[in-house]
Amino acid sequence: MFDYSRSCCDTYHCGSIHKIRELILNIISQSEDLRAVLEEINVAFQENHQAALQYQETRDKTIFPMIGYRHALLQRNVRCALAYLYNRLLKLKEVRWHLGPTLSADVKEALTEPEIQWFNNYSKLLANYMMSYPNGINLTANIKPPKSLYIEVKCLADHGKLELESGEVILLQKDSIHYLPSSECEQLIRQGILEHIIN
Amino acid sequence: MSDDELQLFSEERVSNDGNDSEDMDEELITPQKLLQRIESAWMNEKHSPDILPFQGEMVDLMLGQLAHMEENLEAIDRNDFRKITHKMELERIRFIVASYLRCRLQKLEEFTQHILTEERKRPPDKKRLSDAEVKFAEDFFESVERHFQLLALRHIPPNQDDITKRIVRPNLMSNVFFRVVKSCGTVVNTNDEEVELLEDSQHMLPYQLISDLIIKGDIQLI
Amino acid sequence: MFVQDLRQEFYNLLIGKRVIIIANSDVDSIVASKILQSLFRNEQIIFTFVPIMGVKGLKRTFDDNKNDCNIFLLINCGGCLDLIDLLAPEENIFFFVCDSHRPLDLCNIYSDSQVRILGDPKDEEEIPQFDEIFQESENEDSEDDENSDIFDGDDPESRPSTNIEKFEKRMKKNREKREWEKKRDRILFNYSQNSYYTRSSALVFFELAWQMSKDSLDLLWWAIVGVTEQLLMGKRESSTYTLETQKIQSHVTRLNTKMNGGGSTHTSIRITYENDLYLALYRHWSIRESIQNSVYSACKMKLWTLNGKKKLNELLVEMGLPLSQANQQFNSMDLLLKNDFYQMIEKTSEKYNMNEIIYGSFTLQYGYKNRFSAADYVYAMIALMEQIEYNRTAESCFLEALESVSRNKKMLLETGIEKAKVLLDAVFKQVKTSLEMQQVFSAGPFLYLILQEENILFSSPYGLSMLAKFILNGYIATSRKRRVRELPLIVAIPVDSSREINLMVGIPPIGDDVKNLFGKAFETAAIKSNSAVSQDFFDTNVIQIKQADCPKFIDALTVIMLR
Repeated sequence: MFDYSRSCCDTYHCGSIHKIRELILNIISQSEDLRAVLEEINVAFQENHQAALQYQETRDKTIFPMIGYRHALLQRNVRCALAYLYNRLLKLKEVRWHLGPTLSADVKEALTEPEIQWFNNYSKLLANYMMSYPNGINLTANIKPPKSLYIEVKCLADHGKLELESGEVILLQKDSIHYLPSSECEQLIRQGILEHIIN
Repeated sequence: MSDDELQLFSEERVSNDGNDSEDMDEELITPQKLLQRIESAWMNEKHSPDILPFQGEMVDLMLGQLAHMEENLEAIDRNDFRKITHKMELERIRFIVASYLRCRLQKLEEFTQHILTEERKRPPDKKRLSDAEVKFAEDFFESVERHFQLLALRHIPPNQDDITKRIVRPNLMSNVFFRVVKSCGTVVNTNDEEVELLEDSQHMLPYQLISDLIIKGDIQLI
Repeated sequence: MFVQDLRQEFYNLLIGKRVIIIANSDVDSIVASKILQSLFRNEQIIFTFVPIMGVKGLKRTFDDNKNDCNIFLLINCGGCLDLIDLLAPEENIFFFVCDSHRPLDLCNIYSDSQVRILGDPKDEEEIPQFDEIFQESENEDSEDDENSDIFDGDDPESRPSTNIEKFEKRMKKNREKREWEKKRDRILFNYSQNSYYTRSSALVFFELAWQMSKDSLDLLWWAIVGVTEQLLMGKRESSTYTLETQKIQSHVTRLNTKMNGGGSTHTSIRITYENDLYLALYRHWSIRESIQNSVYSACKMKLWTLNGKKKLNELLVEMGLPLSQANQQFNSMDLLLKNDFYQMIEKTSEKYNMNEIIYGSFTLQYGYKNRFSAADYVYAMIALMEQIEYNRTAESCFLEALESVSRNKKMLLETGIEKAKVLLDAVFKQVKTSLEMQQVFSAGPFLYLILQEENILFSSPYGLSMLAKFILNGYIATSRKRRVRELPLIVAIPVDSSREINLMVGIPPIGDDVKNLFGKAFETAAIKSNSAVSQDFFDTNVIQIKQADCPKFIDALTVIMLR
């Protein structure tokens, strides 16, 4: 739509975009940077608005490139900001599928309040969907095709007692080895409490 | 499932639900066929870029069967090695069903807007999503949008965000491998060649050209 | 009670149940557990496996699990202690014990059904009869009757005579009882005086697997490692070892052909029985270092002295081995020299008085590069088990050693071999220091060496025992007195300076008799000298003692052993 001249490149604007790209790879919240980006968008928009008014007055076409540039900058900022937020949501989704519906304290620290709410909401959505089947169905189990009914696991940390479906009670102490049905261990393996021993 | 297993548990004729009206023909299928159908639906779903019609009845029947078989297993002595093989089979079937449903959910989450708009356009007898899936998709979409609103969009001038630009569409022209189950004529591919779809032949073509054939059941994605 | 038919009376009873396996920290129990685990996996027997170091660990594990499970399997632990007394189990709890330690506690042998020992009573040495040890106390009842009779007497005339008769009867009974008790004490003392070892538990479980046709070359190899450990650590005589290896050889031939069909490729797994050398880890080390750090060769040539070093060089020259080659890793030596090495040693061994450097042993081969002797495995596992540092518990070291035995964890095994080299090196250096500074003293009936500095490598039973064996052999090699050849040795080293605790180990004199009397001797000496001693390990010749109590303990021990 707009052609913008490359000569007017404001280094202040470019800096923020680089930072945003880095953050997309990181789940640690850098909300100040996000706010900075949003500020930029607003500032750019204001400037464009001013420029448009100015144009209306002066009909000076030389300000077009700058407007076009700012517009592109705006759009790009919006896209990057939303992409950053969306990727964080994707990571949160992974957390829900791998670790379950509760958030551990260290993950909670890295999240903002709306994200925690989104997580709980997503958990609820998922649970509603899973319950819509007769007897409910747990889709977060059976992630991998089962190789054998029983597996050997090593306990990496004290975890107290585990009760099996068959009624047996297993005491999970650090540095002990157990041979258990694989369906009962799946959750604990994902949480990192048990380690699957492959022979 | 092997034939032996069919003998172990009573060879039930599984019937469709919705058999209230008497004019509808009851379609009887054996557990073996049911599993085959579910497996083919699973394979199709995994390999196609777009979401396919939901085989809801199959899933419900299968889940019912699984519950029934589990009850039967309780009765058998724990140490019988047949119990172990049956249990393994049950676990495998459960995995297939779960994977099928998960695959669909993933597509819903990735292409939410696209799937919902397409779904609304379709006539009632060609719907591809179950009610629960529609609800899930709508709620999911809403929660993501709300999240964006809350954290970013409300801070910036309103007309700078174009929601239509954010629609993610699946690549319908991506190539898929498939095998022809029932011969169904010819198809013109992207090089403007005619490809004859004979029974039991295998081809690779863009998805869009053959999507209706998948739904009809004439070809099977591999 | 004894359980002889392992398949019917042990294995079949476990199917469908849950078992808790408690294993002692030694190489034999590691390989035995590995064999057992693979057997259990076949039958889907749910098990929990817990490694322990000593009696306290056993008690703790039992208490933690006694409410949840009622079948316990003890490997190489618990046989020599009265289990019922120690653990106070409920009626419904059973113990299966496969312990290579002897002598077994008599209460365990004569237990009705709660304690079941896996083994054949005919293989055991002279178990005292039940009547000689246990006697029901019927005497007291009849005594009471007699007393009441005295006051009940109706007949005044017969009273005086019956009184005397009754009195005499009672005296006689008391005398008999005392004699019986003295005899019992003597029998008990003779029975439990010496501690020794019997068949490797790994071999027992392998034979069970063989009975059930579930044996394989891997299982056989693990059993071989268990048997070799017993030989290398001096737990069994070399004659018994030779007998066992003959039986094992038949398994080897049978399984080799079974696994490999007719023609075997180079990469398939194979076990071979061959004459091997008592040179520790020589395939993974340089020749010089291996000869220097192995007990037999070092002591025959006295390699800690200057003369010894010269002798070593002479030996190498006679073998035709250039020094540069001898200092290289074995695998990097010239192919011709490598292949001829064994013959060279054989030829020169007589001249250097090393006739017994050759012994029959097994080698495992799989793939192109992997060739390990059973002794390599033993040393590697010992090193892995005992590398207890501040951030690694004994249990995790045990589990690491357990993992290293699988063929697909070769990296772990090689780490173990490297650590074993460090250990053997340190042993040699310590031996050199102690012999040069003449730190080994004679207390009369035994020799003793008390080290002053902590050394993490010798702070565990295996490390200290290896050091003790080397020192004893070295001391005898250097000493001129004839008498010292028959003396046993005690070595003590501080292990915890903050709490001032020493670890002390006693080994029998050199020679083929492996009976170790230190177990009982330590116990008695501790009581007599009122020392703070903890005999927690299942090998009763290893104890922990407070540093300050060492001198008076040794005095008490001298007195006891002079008798």
